[in-house]
Amino acid sequence: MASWLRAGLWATRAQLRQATVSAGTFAGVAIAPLSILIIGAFMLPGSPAGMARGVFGSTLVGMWSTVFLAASLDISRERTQETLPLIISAPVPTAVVLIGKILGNALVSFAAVAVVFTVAVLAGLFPLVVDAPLLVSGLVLFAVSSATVGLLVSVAYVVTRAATGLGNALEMGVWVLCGLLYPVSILPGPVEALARALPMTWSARVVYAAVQGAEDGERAGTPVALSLALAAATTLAAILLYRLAERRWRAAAEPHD
Amino acid sequence: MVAAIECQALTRSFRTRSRQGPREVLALAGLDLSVGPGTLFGVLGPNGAGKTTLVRILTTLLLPTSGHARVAGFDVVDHPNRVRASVGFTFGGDRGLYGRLTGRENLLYAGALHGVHGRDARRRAAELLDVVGLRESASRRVETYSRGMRQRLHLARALMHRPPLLLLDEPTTGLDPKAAREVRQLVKRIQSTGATILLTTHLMPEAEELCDALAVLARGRLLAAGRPSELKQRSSQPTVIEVEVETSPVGRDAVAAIRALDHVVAVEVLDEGQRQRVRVHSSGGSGPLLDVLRRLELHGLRTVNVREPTLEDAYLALVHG
Amino acid sequence: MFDAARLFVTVGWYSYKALFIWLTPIGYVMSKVAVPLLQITVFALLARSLGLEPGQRVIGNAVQSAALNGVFGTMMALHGERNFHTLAFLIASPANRLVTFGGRILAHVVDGMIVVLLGLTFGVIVFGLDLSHANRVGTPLAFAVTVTAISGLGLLLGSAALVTRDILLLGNVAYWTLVALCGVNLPVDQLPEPLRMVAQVLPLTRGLQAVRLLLAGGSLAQAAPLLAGELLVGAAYYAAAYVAFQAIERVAARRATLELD
Repeated sequence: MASWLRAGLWATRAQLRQATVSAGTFAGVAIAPLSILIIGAFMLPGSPAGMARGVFGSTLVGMWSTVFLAASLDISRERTQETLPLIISAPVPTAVVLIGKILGNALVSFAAVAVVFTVAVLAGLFPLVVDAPLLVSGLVLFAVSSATVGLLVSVAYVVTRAATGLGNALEMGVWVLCGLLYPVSILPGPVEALARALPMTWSARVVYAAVQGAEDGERAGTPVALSLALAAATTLAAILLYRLAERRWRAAAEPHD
Repeated sequence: MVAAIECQALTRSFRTRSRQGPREVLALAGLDLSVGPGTLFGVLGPNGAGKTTLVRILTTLLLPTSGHARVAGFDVVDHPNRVRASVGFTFGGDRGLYGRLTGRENLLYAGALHGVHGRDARRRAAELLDVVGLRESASRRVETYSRGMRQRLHLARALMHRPPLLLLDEPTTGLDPKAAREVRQLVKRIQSTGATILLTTHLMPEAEELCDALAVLARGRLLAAGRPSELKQRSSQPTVIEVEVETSPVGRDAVAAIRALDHVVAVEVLDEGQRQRVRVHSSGGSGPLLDVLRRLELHGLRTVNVREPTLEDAYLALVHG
Repeated sequence: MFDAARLFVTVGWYSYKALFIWLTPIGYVMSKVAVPLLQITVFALLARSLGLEPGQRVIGNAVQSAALNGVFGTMMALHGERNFHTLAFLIASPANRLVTFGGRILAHVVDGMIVVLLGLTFGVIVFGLDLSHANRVGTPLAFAVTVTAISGLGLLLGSAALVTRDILLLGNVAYWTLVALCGVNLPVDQLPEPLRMVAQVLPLTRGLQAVRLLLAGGSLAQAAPLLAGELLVGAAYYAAAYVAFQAIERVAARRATLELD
């Protein structure tokens, strides 16, 4: 078990290094959240809701976009750089490595938090936070949730080429679906149901509960628990999909030599 | 004693798409092979012979279509984790390493995936970096390494968990002569520690220099296996004994006498100004050498050369008929 | 003149075909259709959740999303020339630079207008946008002027794309600055003064005002000053792009840095 933990931490460390992109590329990803920060803050001047959406919505957008950048092509990258054989052939269960990757990408997403919060504070736009520990928990949960979905996307990309075509649409799809900028209750019924199946939706709720108070009087524990449960389910789905992919690669790899 | 590697009727086919429609490619066709422990075993063959397919099956990266492959007694399909713990491998080339990690970190990560941690891992990494000559570059990112350095790091990584079996797939391909020689020397050092090594190559001199035993594959089948010296006998090329004599001419009687010797296939006499060169083609290796020399000694022997058939001759005869 | 026009169209078509041809149908649909529609949805719903009217945001984001073509498309066309190592052939040709580089934007302008149209149609169906009073002559003209002006910005950034690898940064900065500052999601005068000043020198600001005016039934005469302003801004970017290309060409020839890897 200790051996697995160490292997997982090494996978996290390797992932952090892999996900470290150039300052230019990261800035390119950070610009959208900053744009949303401006929009949210000035769309309805003087409105606390607007300010909250501007600051925390843009933070969540930035976190997800950063994870998407780091994670979505991860398994494809392992494949093209031919490090996937190392992972497949290792006696340590692949699930350990995949969970390590999730943690690495979750940590990377905090770069977006740093950027948006810094700009918001400097511009005097940071709203009053009702529950700071809950906010931190919400951000951590969101980071982990995003990373689990990022990994699932990453595995889907190597299982089916159709997934790769979805690209930016997938990234923005989460903005629309997961209540990053507005409550999911304003989405149409079936779409809202889909949104509630995603872990980021619930962790975003935790973040906004910390700033604006809980929605409809719900207990803070509910979105936390749901976020954790769905993140775990997404991780499991990613691992199972990966195992399926691995089995297919081993059975049907291209001829060599 | 359990064989290090044992293949029985090992078969692997692939379905490929071509303009004529999908077709089945037989990369390995019922391969039977056995490699004893502590051997440096070479697998020779042209492109498409099945060498890399064999290595990928033995590393559990590829499933056989039928037949069996066992590593240290463990079946690659039924006990993949046992096999993985016993095998280290390199596929060579520029890829297969994490460019953003340093050389040392690549080793430590590989060690972690194989259950080598903490102080043991750091010690082992330092030792291997020394062995492969990368101690000075250990703290640099691999993306700054040359091809030769990456290849040496591949070897070090394969050895982190002290595997009893090492699989090297064309380890010197693409390397300059100096780097290639360094890799070959490393391979010999590794073998001297008692590891079993299976090495695939299409470089004859490399196979001849390194391997205790060889197998020749073509189109997924085993054509021949044995020691390099045994395989050379399969060559269709005769041994050539060439004698330069001081005083000419070499008379017809001398030529006839040489031709009458056992195993002599042909005799040529080449005039080179003041001297003559007598070329004797022998199907019995260098067996007739002394008799040839006795029949020519009256002419004054200046130089003697014996050209044995090479492994390349044998390989070409086996593969191309 | 006729030859220049023919060159303009030819270069535009081949450039578009050569450098966009790698996109799979699904990739094309996702980036040209799905992304703009998702963007419209996000900001329209944000507005609605704050009790604001979503219709203006739908129009704003629909028009702005043409920047996908105008900015990224144009930029990538030039970056692609560098990556495929075809830039040298282009530069070594005697063809007029203004025409060959300008020709590149033609296909993206047309493409961009299609994206705008799709976005507005989506807005009508999903958000109940009322376009029944739209000026049918003026509105397409306003689209064309606005998208052309945005493409001028893309062309300028494209010159930078010849010498830098951080094109994601350049493209995203341009794209999201337009989203934030040009009246797409909030009136320009609600922004702080420094940001308002930036908006005045960007394409889209005046063009979008003109589009909104015309979609609400305003006359071309009313929109003309705004469209003239937009054209002027676009022309300025176009001119800057031309100067930048000439400069980069000269520097690159001296330093042999044109096709860095």
